[in-house]
Amino acid sequence: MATLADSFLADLDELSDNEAEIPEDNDVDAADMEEDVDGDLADLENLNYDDLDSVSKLQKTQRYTDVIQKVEEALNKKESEVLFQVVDIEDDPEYQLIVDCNALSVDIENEIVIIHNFIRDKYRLKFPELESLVHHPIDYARVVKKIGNEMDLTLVDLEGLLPSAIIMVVSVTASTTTGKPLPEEVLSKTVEACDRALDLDSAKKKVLDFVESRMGYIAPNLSAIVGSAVAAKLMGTAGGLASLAKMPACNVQLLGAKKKNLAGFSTATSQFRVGYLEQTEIFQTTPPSLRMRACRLLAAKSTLAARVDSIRGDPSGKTGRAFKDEIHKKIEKWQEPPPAKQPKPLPVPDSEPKKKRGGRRLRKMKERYAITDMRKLANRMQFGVPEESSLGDGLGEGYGMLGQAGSGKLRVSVGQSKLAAKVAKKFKEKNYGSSGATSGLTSSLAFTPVQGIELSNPQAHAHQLGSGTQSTYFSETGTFSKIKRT
Amino acid sequence: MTGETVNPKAYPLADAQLAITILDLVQQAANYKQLKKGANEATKTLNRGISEFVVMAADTEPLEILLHLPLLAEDKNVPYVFVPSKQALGRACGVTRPVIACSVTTNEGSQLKSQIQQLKDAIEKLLI
Repeated sequence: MATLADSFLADLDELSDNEAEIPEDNDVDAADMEEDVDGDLADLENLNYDDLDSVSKLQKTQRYTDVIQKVEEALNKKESEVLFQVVDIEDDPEYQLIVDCNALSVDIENEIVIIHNFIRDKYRLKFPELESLVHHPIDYARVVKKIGNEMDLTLVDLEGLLPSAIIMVVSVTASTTTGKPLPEEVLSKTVEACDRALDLDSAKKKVLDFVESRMGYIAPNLSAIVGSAVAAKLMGTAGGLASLAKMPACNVQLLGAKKKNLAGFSTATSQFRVGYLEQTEIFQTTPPSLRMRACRLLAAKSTLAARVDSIRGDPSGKTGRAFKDEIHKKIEKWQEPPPAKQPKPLPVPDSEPKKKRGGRRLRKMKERYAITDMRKLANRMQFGVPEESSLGDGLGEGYGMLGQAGSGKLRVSVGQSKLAAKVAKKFKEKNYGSSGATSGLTSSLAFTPVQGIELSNPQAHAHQLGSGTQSTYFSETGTFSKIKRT
Repeated sequence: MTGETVNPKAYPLADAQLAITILDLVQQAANYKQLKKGANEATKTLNRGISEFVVMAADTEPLEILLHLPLLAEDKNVPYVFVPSKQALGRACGVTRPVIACSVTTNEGSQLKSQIQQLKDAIEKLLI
């Protein structure tokens, strides 16, 4: 109670501080205008960025102060009063406050980005490399406030603000930086902007704490799956429960994902980094090899639960618990070992009878189409003896053992085969005519196996067929050529 | 199917004749590569503004996991309709699993343009 009252009084003091600072800023503006008459670029820069109030307006608005005040009042409320209002939650003014808190957290986030740009532009003159080393706006504001105008960074203790590796890189970079110390008024504006950013960040944390405590009423199903803390962060980043419900599941998986900040170190040992879903209890209890699949499953089921919550389909959270049980069951199923390999028996032998047997015809076919002796020798190689080829020096077609028997010839003497001998024998039996070469000088004496020796008479046919030696044209017995006298 | 009670939130629900016409056109759109299957992809087509109409299954359990699509469709002025069976919708989309939501996408010069326009008119008549 005392601490909350002190923070409330501090807010009032901050308001009075802002009121007191306005005339000082006006005086500083007048001084700048008097001093920088000659420099046009400096005037332009001062006109653009000189006043923090011209770029950062959220804390001045009535809506901001109203919501923050209501949040502090609601956090002070007792538990019994909260339980009393569960009966009709949609008409509850606290529900509307939660909806306003979601919208306000998005506005605070945008405001922090604007102030971060202001701080970065101011502080770039002193330390240009710092913005590439420290990416988070709140971390950057803390580091800027800590360093201030110090040139020797070994005197500045950054422990607790940054990881040790980043502290080392920042210290090494600061020793070689090209920056110069800032003027006093620029430094005071920068530190003021850092203070404002840190105040906005603490206000945002307060708003998220309030939303987290009431998450069981807004999103019971989503809280059942991912927990109320992560549910509040998801809703804050997405811009409300309705916006979260209208997202595809692959976008929900990346909510809250940060830029990689390895600072030159190897990525071989870096963990798989996702957004807010990495902080859930289900994800942390999953083995590392299954975390990517668990993250996708978690994003899908969370989106379904958010859609149920956005139209208040199940206020009791039963659907969310069913989704959570399903997620647990699936993750346990993934971790089961695959079933042990059974010894595989031999396949059943082929019982179909063969269509082809041996026999006389098949053997003759194989003998007819067998590979020749010449090709066999060409296919062989003798050990240690180089082969000859058709084009010489190993080019073209190799001859193998062909022609290496000592004779130098490529022709192979044909061995006797039974088939060739039988064919030759059969051919010889049909040769009934001349026994050798026939020329015109030999006689017509023929030896046949059937008739034996036969001596033919060339004059035997002359009597029968008529003699060719005598012409009947000039014969006296011809009847047409001689006319009888009567 | 007729014995089951349909969720009253599944509105507008197509009758048997219109459901057959819708599923037939969904199957043709799947063949012409003008179909996005699943609630997440249907959400993306609505956000990108390339959706002609959205078809949802009325027997989804729980039905609230796709009731954000009518809200998005109303914002984008896209017709939406419920069909009785998610199993039939999955079969029309050409997948072996049930499909609870799908979206027919826009394609200028497509052969399905006249049929899509007729079906959009028929769906909008259900809302009158």
